[in-house]
Amino acid sequence: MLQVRDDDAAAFEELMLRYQHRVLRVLEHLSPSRSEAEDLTQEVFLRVFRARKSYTPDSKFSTWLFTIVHRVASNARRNQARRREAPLPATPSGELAGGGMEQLVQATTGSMPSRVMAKVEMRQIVRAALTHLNPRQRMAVLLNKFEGMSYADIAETMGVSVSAVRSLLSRARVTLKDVLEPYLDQGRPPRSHNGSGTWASQ
Amino acid sequence: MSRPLPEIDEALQLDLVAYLDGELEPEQARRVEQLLYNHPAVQEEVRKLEASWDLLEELPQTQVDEQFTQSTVELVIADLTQQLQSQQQALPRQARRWWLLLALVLGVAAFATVAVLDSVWLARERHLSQQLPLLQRLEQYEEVRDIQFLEQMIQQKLVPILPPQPQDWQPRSDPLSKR
Repeated sequence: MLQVRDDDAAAFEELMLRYQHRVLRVLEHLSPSRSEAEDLTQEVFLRVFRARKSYTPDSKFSTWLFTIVHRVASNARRNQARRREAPLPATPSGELAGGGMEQLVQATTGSMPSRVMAKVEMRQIVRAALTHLNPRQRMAVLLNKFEGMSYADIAETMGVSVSAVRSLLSRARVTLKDVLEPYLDQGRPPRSHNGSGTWASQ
Repeated sequence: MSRPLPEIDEALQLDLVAYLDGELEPEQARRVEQLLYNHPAVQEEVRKLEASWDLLEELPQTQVDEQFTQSTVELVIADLTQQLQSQQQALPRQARRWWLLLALVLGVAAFATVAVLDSVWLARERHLSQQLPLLQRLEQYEEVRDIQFLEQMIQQKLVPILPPQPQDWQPRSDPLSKR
């Protein structure tokens, strides 16, 4: 990042290659669609480039980067709430479609071999379970699970206290446990959640 | 001997999750481990928390193609180009402002210089005009060669009396005083 700060274009491309899939992975679970997540990822890197001169290596680069991710996602959520677009559930690729979670799982897995079907179904169920979390809980979960961030780093990224992060993660994990319990115990998909995968549900 | 089962309330769940995340102080962690050892219900709660957490790993890995990287880089370049263009557009306005400021400063400096020179020139002119009667008869006074006689003539107002002059304008040596 220090090379990017000194206007090294190659270093910026290298930085993108290293982090873009991580940023996209987090934003995919915070956005209503894959295309929206891609747009937001591009916006994140645009902001990184614009803010390159203000970067100081005081904190970890990933913390600085995901602070921007958090801001971009929060802004997008606010804009979406202002526009009040009609929410639509997510398809396997994250695109929008109609129908409830169970119908969606059936529609997606109906013509697949059983092992592949089970895998796709499981992904759908886990994805649906994430929509039961509020956006702050979801962000904390994604940073903790996928980025391996400590509570202190998550707190810095989200601009909250460590105890708030502890509370967010505890509630999120209890919600995930409650939602996924029927699937884990009996293989049943969890109950549907209104507006799955949309900003409006967050 | 089995101890009474603590209620799995929000406070305990906070500790259990923090324990799983390795975020508890050693003393708190030991307390949770004691609970786990003594109470199968707490063990079951932790097992469920872990199992549901592990399921998140089933989420698909995000793939990013080269085209996406390229389009992001292009976006950044376009943004940078736009910034540079707006900076260049702002440059003539800024330069014009600097020229105006420079002209103003030069104008004030020229006015001050003229005013100072003018006052110096006027003072010198005034001094010369005051000494004019003396200068006009300087040759005659030099022929007298007697200061007392000249003083008598001044007393009788036969020679013009010059007003007292500022120190700066007094001649360093009075040709009459030498005689």
